[in-house]
Amino acid sequence: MGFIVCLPPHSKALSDITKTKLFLAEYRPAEVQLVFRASSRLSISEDKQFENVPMAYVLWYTDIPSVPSDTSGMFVVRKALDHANHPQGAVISLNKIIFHCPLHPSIIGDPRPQLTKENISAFATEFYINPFSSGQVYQRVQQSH
Amino acid sequence: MIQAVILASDETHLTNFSGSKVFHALYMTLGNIYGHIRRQPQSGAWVLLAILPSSSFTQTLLNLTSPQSYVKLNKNQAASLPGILKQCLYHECMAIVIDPLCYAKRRSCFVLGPGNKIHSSMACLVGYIADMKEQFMIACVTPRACPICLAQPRLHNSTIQDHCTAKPHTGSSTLDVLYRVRNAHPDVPIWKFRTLVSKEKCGVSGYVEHPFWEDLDVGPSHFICQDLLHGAHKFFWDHPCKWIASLIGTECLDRRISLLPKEGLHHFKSGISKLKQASGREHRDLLKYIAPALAGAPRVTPQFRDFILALLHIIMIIQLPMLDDNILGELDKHFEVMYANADEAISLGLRKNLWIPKLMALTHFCQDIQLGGVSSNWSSETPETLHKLLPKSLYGQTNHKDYHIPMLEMLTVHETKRVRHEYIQWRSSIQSSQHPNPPLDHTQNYGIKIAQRPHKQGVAITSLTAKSGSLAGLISAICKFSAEADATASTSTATHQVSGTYDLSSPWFPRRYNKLDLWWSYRLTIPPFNEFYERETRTIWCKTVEDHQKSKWKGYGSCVFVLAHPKRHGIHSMSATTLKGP
Repeated sequence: MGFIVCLPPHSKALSDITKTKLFLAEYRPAEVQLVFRASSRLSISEDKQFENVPMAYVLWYTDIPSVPSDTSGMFVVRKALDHANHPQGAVISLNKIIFHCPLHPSIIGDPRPQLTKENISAFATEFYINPFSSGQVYQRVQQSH
Repeated sequence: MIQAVILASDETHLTNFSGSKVFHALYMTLGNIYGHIRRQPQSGAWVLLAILPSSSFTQTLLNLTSPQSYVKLNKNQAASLPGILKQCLYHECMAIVIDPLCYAKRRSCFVLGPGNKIHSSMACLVGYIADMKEQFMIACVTPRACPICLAQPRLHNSTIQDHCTAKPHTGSSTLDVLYRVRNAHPDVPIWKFRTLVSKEKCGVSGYVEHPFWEDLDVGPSHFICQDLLHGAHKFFWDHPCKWIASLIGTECLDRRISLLPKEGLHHFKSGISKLKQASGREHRDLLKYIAPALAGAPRVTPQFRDFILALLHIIMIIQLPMLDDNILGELDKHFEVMYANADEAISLGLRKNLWIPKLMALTHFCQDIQLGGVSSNWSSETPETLHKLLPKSLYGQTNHKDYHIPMLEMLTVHETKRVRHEYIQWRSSIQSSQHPNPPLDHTQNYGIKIAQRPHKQGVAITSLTAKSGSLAGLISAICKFSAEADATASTSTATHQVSGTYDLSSPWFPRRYNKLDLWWSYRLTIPPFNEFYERETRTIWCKTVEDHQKSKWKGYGSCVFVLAHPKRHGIHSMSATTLKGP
């Protein structure tokens, strides 16, 4: 199977951000729901300027706070909801996804028996950005606050 | 030019499930070789320098305790004798091996150095990598003392912070004690000598009267290096992890860890208590789960949480591939937090005291970093891997009887072949350098790799939104994206305000999105944080995945960092890219 290669030169953006310590202010965690494009089986002659590239539909988490939580020692985010209490989603260009976010659901007290690895993120209200997941994440997250 | 000799020794079993054949290997490398090459076991940077004899001296013990023995020993003396003999044998053998490094016998020699220039070179011992048990044997100290400093943990009013301020355990301080006891009692045998030295209560074991480093110009406090594998990762597995399990319950900890998403190579599906045997990789991966597993756990006090988090920060920082003064300043702060909250483990009844050699030795990592660079230079991970490549594989090719000589002969053949192969490679690289290739564009290695053909084509958007609740807002999101794209492309300054919920009949919904092509995953490669890291590649999974793809699917969409505010600082100019064809 062939591959399309996208070339986001975000290396420069990343290095600039780590230098200016704006990492937490510029990035927002999200969960990828769907990667899609308009079907190539349909004619798109109506819009010749249209560039049919893959995009992602993501559900947002809240902005990363400026300081870690006192109770966990990690940055805490929640699922972003709109005024009608629905999850906030957005279609974004694929090259805006910069890198993997080690987001772990918070488990308060003894975990309930019905919780599984697959459904825990649906039940969790808070999520921790785990800085200990790798050395690179640790340096990016810890040194930017 | 100084040739910085680094030694590493470790005992290993040659057979896995039966037999008691032990192989005590001594490896050598040079600090002049780049660290990333030295950390590769197959790079040839390490050589098997010696096979140290190993014996438990069980026959000696039997003879001495028999009624017919002419040497009369009490039970304690007889029990200590095999240990004394084992350590004496080790030091005698090591003295032979490192004889060329002794101060009196060290000679400079001429070697071909960088830039094809002849350099006068002299070898010096700068590092010795060993596990904690062997560190005690090398430094000739008791297991209750510290091989690096003179702190006496079990003395009255002593704390674990004493290791930060205690004087170094220099070779001369150890030798002074040994000489003083020997001069006072010139005729006592070795087993009585040990008892007399232990009565001095200065931490010296007295098992050996003449350590192998006696004639070196450096002492054990200088050349013994803290081992990242045993001193940090295995320490956390053996101690803090067990404290957490006893505090919140083993089952609770297992369940909390099993519920967390996978990080690293291992996911502990059944927790950690049921693991019978864990390798260094598992020890390291466990650290990734502890912080989220501990947060919100029952019976965890804020002090205990701060203590564990400080330990995690310390272990994380000491294994970073590049450290500067700012990071070392952070490390000092985490040490202060750890010391301030360490007594909570005693208050909660998890420990009676904190006299754990590896916990106390954590502070010596800082000294090692300042003197000899990052801790990954001194990890015993590479020597442990070398066991598989050298002794164990060679032993498998022998008839398992009188195997030492055949193993050494095979080793010579292997080394000769490797050196010849590398020489040929070096010659060919010189010849090819006359026609240099154009420099590689490393940015080509970063980015997104997505299948050219979508995993599913022509799916109606209505069926998608009806099937999955999390995609209910997809149509509205497409409307907003389309409106924003139109506003950006438009030459007019007017912008469209698109908010609220939209359906397929909305004028903002582009008809071309009625049917979609879908991908379940793609690969994202990010550039390293700095030149000391390698680039990182991840598979980004969608939450909506068809059944036939679920074998590799984790059950949830990948969480990612999204460049959310690009316009504020002008990063959009750098991230605006287009997809190119194959």
